Amino acid sequence: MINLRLAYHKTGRARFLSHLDTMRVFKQALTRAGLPLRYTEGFNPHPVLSIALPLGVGVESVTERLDFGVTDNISMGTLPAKLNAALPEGFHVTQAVVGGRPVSQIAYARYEITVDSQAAPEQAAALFTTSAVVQKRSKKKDCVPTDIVPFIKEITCRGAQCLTVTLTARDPILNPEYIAEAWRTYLDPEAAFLFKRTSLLDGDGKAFDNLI
Amino acid sequence: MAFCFPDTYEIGMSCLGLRILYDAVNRLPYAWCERAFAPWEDMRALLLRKKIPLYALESGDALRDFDILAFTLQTELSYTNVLSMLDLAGIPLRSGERDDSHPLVMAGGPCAFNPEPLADFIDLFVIGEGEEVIVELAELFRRTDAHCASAAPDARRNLLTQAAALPGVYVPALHTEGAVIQKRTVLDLDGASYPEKPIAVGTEIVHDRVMLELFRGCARGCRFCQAGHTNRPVREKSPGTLAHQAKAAVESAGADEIGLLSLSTSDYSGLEPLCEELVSWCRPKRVSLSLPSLRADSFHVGLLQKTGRKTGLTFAPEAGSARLRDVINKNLREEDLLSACATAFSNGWNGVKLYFMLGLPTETNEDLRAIAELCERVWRLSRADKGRSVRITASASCFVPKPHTPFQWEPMVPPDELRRRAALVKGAMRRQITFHWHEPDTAYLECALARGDRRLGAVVERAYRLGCRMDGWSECFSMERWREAFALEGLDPDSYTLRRREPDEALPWSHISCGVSAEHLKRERDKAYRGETSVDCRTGCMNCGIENCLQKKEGGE
Repeated sequence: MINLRLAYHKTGRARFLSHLDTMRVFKQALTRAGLPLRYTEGFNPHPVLSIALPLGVGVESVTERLDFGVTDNISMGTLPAKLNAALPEGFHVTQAVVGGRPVSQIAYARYEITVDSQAAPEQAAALFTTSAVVQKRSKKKDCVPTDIVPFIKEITCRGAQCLTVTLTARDPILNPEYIAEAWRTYLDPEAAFLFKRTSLLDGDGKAFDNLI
Repeated sequence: MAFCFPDTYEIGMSCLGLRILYDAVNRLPYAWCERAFAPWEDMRALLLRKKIPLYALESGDALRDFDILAFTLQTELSYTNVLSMLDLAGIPLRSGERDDSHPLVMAGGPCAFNPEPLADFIDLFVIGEGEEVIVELAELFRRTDAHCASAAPDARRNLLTQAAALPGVYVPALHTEGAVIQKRTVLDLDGASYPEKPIAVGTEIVHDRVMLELFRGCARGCRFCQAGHTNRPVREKSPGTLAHQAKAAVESAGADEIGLLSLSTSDYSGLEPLCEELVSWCRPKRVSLSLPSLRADSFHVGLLQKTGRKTGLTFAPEAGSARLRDVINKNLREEDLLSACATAFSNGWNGVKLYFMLGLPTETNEDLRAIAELCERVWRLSRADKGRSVRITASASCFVPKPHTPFQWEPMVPPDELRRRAALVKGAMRRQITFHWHEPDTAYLECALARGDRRLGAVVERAYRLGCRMDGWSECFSMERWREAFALEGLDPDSYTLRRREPDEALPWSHISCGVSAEHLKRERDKAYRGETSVDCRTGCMNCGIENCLQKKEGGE
């Protein structure tokens, strides 16, 4: 039994597929590519797949990680091309490796947020350095007023419409949608946003981009 | 061309018809087919707010820029969605309000066997099976250049005139009194187009599996069943074709399940060898095989056992008493049902679902109590092994008399009476058995639309304007709004539903023929009243009038 990790992009229309649908898409693609997948051993066996730090619906990413198991040696060099032939529009596998760093070491995720709003990004930077309280879903699914500023590690403006934010990716995971919600609450209710996850960082702030 | 499914993506993508026709058109070198679905309320509101016209999924192009929109009519409760989709696309609803700059709007599917309620909105109906006609229509469209900007001023009318000459095509605007449209039938199913590279869907849909159609038509002749009458004659696909298509489709889509599809799976002559071949191919690939619509007998439960899955087991006795089953010609013996259930329980199944109908012609309180009694006998069987708990679920839908069946002249039982009958069954049912029934109001509307005439077009439009959409969804359905629509158009829905049609009355669908003669339907209706059954077509010919019947040829009758 061998554990494999893929790095892939999820962009364009594929961003509208939920986490569970993304799992389905990969299950189909891995099956179509004819890989000897490892299955769970329950009553209803299914392939062992896991995606690190599930992406919200509508968020693009160029730094996704998917782990799965195979029961036999496979050719790693040709794997990305093989999978890309089997994946739908919007998914693109960039790298495949055996093993990989434990995903529990992912501490932060960085996003680029493109904003269409009356308010300037500088106003946002000011807002997010003091306090920004929004209704945040807690573990029990009900919403509690939460100040999200402590979960923003870094926020920078790039140009007139672009923010780069680094958010906590564990304890708790901050969904970038909350940045949008705070913006709409405090700055401009009509603002529209596009999100793209650009990198994953470990606890020392070093890139997790290296798969191994 | 855009194939328009007037319901959500999750429902539409589960429809084999969509996949077959999509594939058939996309095989043509000069045409392409995209898909469009009815957006759910949140998406609909956004499209309206942002003024985005309804578009097709593949290219995102607006529907109004297509040459042809092809709607499928799977249920009467989707009629308002057809109007909603046209409206969202910015296309005038009525054929008479459209000109050559608009797409040609056509429709087909099971409900097209009574096209009149939508005749004001649809330029052209396809009656019967569509995979050949849709190609002929695409070819005709190409030849007549009706889509060119430089087309002659009467190009659309020329096109419709030529289309109306194709067998199985009904153009309401050009119809002459007395003419009869014969449905289309594909005789060679082995040669018919089948999607060996099915669309791999990215999201969870209702029936998420490779759908393998064993045969069309049904030899049983259940008197309530429209599909059993409109899809005649029985035509099987060969096991070789089926095995090949199943394997190709599973490999292409990366699917994990194959579903066998037909009106009565057990009646497929090559079922056992086909299942054996598929099971041995599927097992190492961890692909499962599902066999819906099985007959209730122990042989077929044994076959199910071999497919290796113990998911739900469902049987449809339809009626509780043997008397009423004879009336509807559901030739199911209680012994067979009980032995099927006993086999299932002893082989490890932990539950069984039983389907019934309420409001069948001649139904009495005794027949209703018989539903509860039959369920109880099944429950007692399950108690043979005291250590296990088995779930028995009974559900009842409301009978809707449908066109082209022996019951097409019957009145529907009024909704209030259906509620009383459901309560009676519920009261007689043992506590341990779960009993569900369907709300009769949707059946009532379905009945009005199913047997409606052209005057209902105004009601459908009015209902849509009053906000009726997604009528098949209980959270959206409003009988009050529909009643208001009927009242505003000066029509009484009861006259469509509760009125017994006279035997010599001209029915709104009498210009549409599915090949089964009115004489046969009348004979079957009279036999129903006498409680007499009719044999299966394979045993003896009932002279239903269908042409090209293979059974008849083989039997030499």
